[in-house]
Amino acid sequence: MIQGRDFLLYVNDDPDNLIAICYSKSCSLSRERDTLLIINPSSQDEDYIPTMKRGTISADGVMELQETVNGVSILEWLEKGQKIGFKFARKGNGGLQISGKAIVVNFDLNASATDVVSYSFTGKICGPLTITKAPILAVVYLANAAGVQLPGCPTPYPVTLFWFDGTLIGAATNPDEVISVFNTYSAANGNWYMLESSVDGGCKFNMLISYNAPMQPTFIIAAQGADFAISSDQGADKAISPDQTIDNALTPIG
Amino acid sequence: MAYALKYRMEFKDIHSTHPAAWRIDISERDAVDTGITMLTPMGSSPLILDYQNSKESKTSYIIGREATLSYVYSRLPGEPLPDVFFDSVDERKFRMDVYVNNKLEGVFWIKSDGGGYPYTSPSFAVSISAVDGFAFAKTTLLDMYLDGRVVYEYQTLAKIISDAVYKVLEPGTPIYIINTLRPKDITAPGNFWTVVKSHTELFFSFTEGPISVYKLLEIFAAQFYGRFFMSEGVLWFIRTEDIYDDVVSVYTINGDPITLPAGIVQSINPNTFPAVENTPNVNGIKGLKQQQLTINYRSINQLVNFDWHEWAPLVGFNSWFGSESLMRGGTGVLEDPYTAILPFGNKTLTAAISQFTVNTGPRYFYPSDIVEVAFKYTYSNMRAFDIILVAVPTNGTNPQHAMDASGTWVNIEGKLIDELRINLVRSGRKQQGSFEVRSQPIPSLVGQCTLWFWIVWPYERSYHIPKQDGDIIDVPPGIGLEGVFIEPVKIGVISSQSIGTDIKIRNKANYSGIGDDETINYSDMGDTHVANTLLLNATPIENWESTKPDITPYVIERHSAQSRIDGYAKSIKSFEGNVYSNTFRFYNTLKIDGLPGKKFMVLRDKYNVFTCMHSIVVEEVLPEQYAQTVYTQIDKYP
Repeated sequence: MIQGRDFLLYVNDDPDNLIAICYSKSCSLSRERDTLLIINPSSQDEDYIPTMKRGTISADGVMELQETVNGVSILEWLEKGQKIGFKFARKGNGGLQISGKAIVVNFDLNASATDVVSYSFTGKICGPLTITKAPILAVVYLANAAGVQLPGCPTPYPVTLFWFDGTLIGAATNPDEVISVFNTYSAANGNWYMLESSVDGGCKFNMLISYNAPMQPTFIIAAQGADFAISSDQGADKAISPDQTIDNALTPIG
Repeated sequence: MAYALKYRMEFKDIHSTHPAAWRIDISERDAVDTGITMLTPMGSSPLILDYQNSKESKTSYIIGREATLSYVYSRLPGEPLPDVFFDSVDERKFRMDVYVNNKLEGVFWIKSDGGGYPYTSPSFAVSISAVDGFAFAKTTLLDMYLDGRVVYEYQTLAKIISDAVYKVLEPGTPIYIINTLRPKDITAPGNFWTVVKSHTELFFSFTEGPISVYKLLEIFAAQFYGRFFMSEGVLWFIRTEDIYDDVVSVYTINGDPITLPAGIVQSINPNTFPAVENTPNVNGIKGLKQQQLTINYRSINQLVNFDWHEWAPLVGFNSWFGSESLMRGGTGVLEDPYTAILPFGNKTLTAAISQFTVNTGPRYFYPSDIVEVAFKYTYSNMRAFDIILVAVPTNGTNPQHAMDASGTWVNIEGKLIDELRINLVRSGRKQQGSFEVRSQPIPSLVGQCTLWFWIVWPYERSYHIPKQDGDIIDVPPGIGLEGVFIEPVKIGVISSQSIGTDIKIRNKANYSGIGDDETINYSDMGDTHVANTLLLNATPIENWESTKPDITPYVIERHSAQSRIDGYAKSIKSFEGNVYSNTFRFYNTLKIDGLPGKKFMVLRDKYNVFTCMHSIVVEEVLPEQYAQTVYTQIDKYP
């Protein structure tokens, strides 16, 4: 689920530089399609051919003149008959974006004695609607389960990596191994998250998050050193571990 | 005439499975090429193509099409003001070419009286109407003159039709024909249009001048019971009796076969070519019981040098005896034909100025032949002149007979030549006149004969109108003579005692419909003196057969009559509704899901190109010679 306040309407008369309408109380998009009825003398089920489509965007806001895009700018666009660019998108970059062009056709301004000045507007969508499902680019860092960055940063290696649900996924001795271990596991488990590259050669990484990922992580769970040993040997005679004390062993037998 | 491309509109239609790209180019005559201004299409109906078929029956022979283009005018630089189209000098100034997927669909000419725009501030929608060449067909006359001569000869049907249509359509427009009728025993493979000949007499009257392109096309359409219309940039002629077949052969008028990639039959069905929106109606049309057709015989001019083109000063007009001193007026074009000038001279009856001659030497005519005389003349200060027409028996003993003004033959024995004169008198100063008489059949008393024709110089005082104010009415310009100016003269003979024939055809089945009486022009009766006869290899055609199996060969006039009954041989259905397609064309034969075994021809199609909606009326067609009929022919007498 996306919170309403996290999904914003961006508008501007410069379609390459869309600005979010801040102080917006709500925004909405509506779209409809006409159909043509097919006459079929041998069937009682109606069937249709799709024809023209159209839509509107609308938003309510509170008048705040300090903002670049505010109620007055929108009114001015209506006066000029300006075709503006719009997009519905999350804060930040990437994610689901629904964009297009519109002409402002309605504008209401309300100044009530007991409230702040507010406005609302409606725009008619001009031309095609573009739906983009772009990945979100985020910077994540190695941290413990509570989100606290590993104390050894920027050189915490070797580390053990865990998935967001606590599952152990592997060990890494350098950033590249972090990336390959994480991506291999992620690809087999939903493929929503992909580490791109290391930011600083240490604990920070660039991550691409799919637009429909179940959550937006800010850190990757990891543990410094090895508190455990890994062995594939049944008899557990032999173990590989960076930990000198070898208190804990993980074997496939368990 | 050079046209420069000035404006263009492009859009795609909204067909849900295979949209088509449309482009409309507007070119202006005699304009400088300054680049193209793009027009913005207006909303939901930027282009409507509508076939103008007000009669909506199979007997609507020529169907023009109108295009209505709507663009948005926003007063942007270069955008054409609506007045650019509405104030145009003439109706050929702006040409509109419509292309679908880069293929030419039609050529139209923008009318100054169609469409309009609202009287308000921009932006608003401007709609302009344009029509295809057929709109000009009724007012465009054939030009019968070439190099000073009247084009009076046998020509192939392909040449006659092409020359006529290229006066109203872009020259070189392809002409496609669907027609299975062929003259019997034709040796030329494929199409007959390039070998069968008709005389041009049918398209030209010596008193009224040439007919219009429209009337010429009507002659062929009515004879073969087919229709002319434009579709996909091509002129189509489709014989209605040949629509019923699933597989048809299409040829150009020159006989080249044409393959239509999509075939000619389309099927209205809910999946690929649905009826949409409002429920269509299926209506019944009653069958025909009888039909009457009339053929009027048109004799062919037997005179040589009848258009006065062979003349030299002091020699006179070739083949016209006694014309040595005559002058010639005019310039030998349709608007100003050559005329023989008979001056007013204060003389007594003088030798006749012409004798009746033909190009193969003395011609023989026979009792019961009918003679037709026709010509126009113009007076200059004259009131009358005379003509004489005499049938001279070849055996020298039978009595000569002269025709009087009512066409009756009078025995001239014992009469002075003076008494044989037909006076062509006009009252007052009325300048132009015409003489057109059809004689009674030549009496049997005459026997085999030749015909002699005199035009007599106006010589009597009483024929002369005194000059007033000293001026001669100067007709034609530059020749200040008092006298009579004679335009081309026709003397033709019909070799039968009748002047035409009435055809009655009756359906043996019990229906009550009566078809409208019609006139057709061609008949296979074999008389080479009349222009109603079609020739193949210089002999009259005997019979016409079809390339379809089991079609009885008939003379062409019987096929014409049979076709009309076959069109409504029993009560048939018509279908009226809206269909959704961007590939449907007027030349398609339709089948309809739910009406099995029936085929339909298109009568009406109003096509909103953007929404792919066609508002159509289609009518059922039946196989050729479906009707059992009784056919009779009755001669018509003068």
